[in-house]
Amino acid sequence: MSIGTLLLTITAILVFCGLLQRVLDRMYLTDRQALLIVGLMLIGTILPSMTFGAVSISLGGAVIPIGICIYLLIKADEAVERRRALIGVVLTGGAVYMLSVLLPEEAEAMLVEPMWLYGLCGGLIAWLLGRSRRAAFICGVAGVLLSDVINAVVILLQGYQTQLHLGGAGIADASVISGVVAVAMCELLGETIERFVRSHQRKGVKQT
Amino acid sequence: MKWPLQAIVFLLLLIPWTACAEPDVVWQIITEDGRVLTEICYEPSVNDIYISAENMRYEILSVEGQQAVAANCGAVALPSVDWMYQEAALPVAFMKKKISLYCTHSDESYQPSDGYYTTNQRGTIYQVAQALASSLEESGIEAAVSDALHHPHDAGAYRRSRQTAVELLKTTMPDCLLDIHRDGIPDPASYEVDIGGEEASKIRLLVGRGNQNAEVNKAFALTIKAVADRVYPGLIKDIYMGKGTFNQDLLPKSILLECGTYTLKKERVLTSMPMMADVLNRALYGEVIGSAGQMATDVQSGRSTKGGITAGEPDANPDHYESGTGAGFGFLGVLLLIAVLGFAILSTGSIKGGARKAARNISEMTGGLAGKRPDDDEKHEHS
Repeated sequence: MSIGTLLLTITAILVFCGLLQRVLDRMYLTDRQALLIVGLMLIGTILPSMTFGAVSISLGGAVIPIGICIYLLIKADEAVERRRALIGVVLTGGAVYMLSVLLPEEAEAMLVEPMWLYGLCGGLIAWLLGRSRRAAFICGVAGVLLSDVINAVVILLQGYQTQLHLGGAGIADASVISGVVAVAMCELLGETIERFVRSHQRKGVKQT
Repeated sequence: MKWPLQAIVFLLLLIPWTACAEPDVVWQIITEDGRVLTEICYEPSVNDIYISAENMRYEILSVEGQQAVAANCGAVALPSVDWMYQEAALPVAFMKKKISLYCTHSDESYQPSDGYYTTNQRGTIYQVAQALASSLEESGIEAAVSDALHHPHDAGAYRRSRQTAVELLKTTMPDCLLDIHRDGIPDPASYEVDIGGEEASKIRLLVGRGNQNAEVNKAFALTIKAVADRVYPGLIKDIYMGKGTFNQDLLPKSILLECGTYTLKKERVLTSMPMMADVLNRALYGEVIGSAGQMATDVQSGRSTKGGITAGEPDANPDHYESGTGAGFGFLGVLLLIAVLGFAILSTGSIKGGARKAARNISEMTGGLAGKRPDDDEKHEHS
């Protein structure tokens, strides 16, 4: 690999890790804890996946992200918040699966890159359920992993030869990207609507 | 007790929805004066780029129904491949040559040879990938083929094959990553070609333009075409740069190969694989020796490369690929700038406040090396 392409690859990884760190920073974690988790996820990506028959689970793409989701659920202030997040996961899992089935087969025919779409879906569902960034992360990550499980079960019932890889692409897996995009989506929606409401209220005050 | 039951009902309801790969619908790409350029089996989008067999560049202007109108943007300047004929005896590089292959659409098969074009087991596309890998091995390249399955053939296939691609990157650290497919165009004639008296198949190159590696991959595709046009004219059908990523964001010099179409005899495709291996060896590593190199004959110039001298350099023309990395850095830079500033302005409500927040974020991300250090009272911003 030439120097330029190598640097380009490293830069892409650093940019994504930077974004991931900013997202984790919003998840009851300090800057350093977030950075440590990003580092662990990178190491987990390099390490071989754990294999159990036809199922393999990646440390960086499934175990650590799911660990963060569990941590967020435990740290949630109220039971209702936990319940909303779990409902969000089921809804996102179903939505991601349905998107995979209903969208065009070829990525070039889609309006939005599907990898982003899963996260947008998770973010939207989390925002509708409880306007929570943490729930958005949980929905984005666990929703994609759940959709992989649904897909494996469904095609197994249809007689397909199948394997189930959970988070196999590690830190570059759709589940992690989806978690990042979901938080971004939730934040974007939240901030936009909040700003819109505030400016609307100010106008109302001026008129009275 | 209700939840497990509801989950099972939900799963059962999903079964009929699962996609099965029907013969694909075809879109025509036509010129502004109505001449049909080619057919593709996925819906083209405005701004997609098509580089024809004659190396003319077309850009999609509009899509209506099953037709896309493309503007002729002139001839593409293919990279010079004169280095293939260097007479200087350069030493063989000791660096290992590595190429990895995988098949995103695990069901893809060839109707005339296999009796089916899709399967819920392992499609014969894996045989094509294996044939290409064997030819690469004969050229002295370490070729790894993943046998991972990514069923079904739906919009989630690239999500699943992404895991395979990363696994290959981890375990083999290749110079190039190839995703092997077959096309869904019904007309076999569009892929039939005779090369050196052999019945072979054309190969279409597909490059995703929605990622930071797009320009490097485009440069790589053009080099492949330039080499093939000199050594095996007609082997490369054309190049299509479409929306989507195709997991090509994972590694520069990742490319998708459409090896024939489902109505073509698989034997034709298998015949093309040693030629493609030779082209890849030249495009990536320079002049070759060995069985694949010895069989190559430059049809256009009439020069034979039998017993050719090896250059064995890691990149045939590294400068050419380097030119694409600049655009890749630009892509990442713009993306990052939009993301950071967009959020900062949105969350603070002003450009000044946004700039302050962006500086604070940069400081936190770089451990205080760049940007303004955060004040203690606003060090951790939690919602």
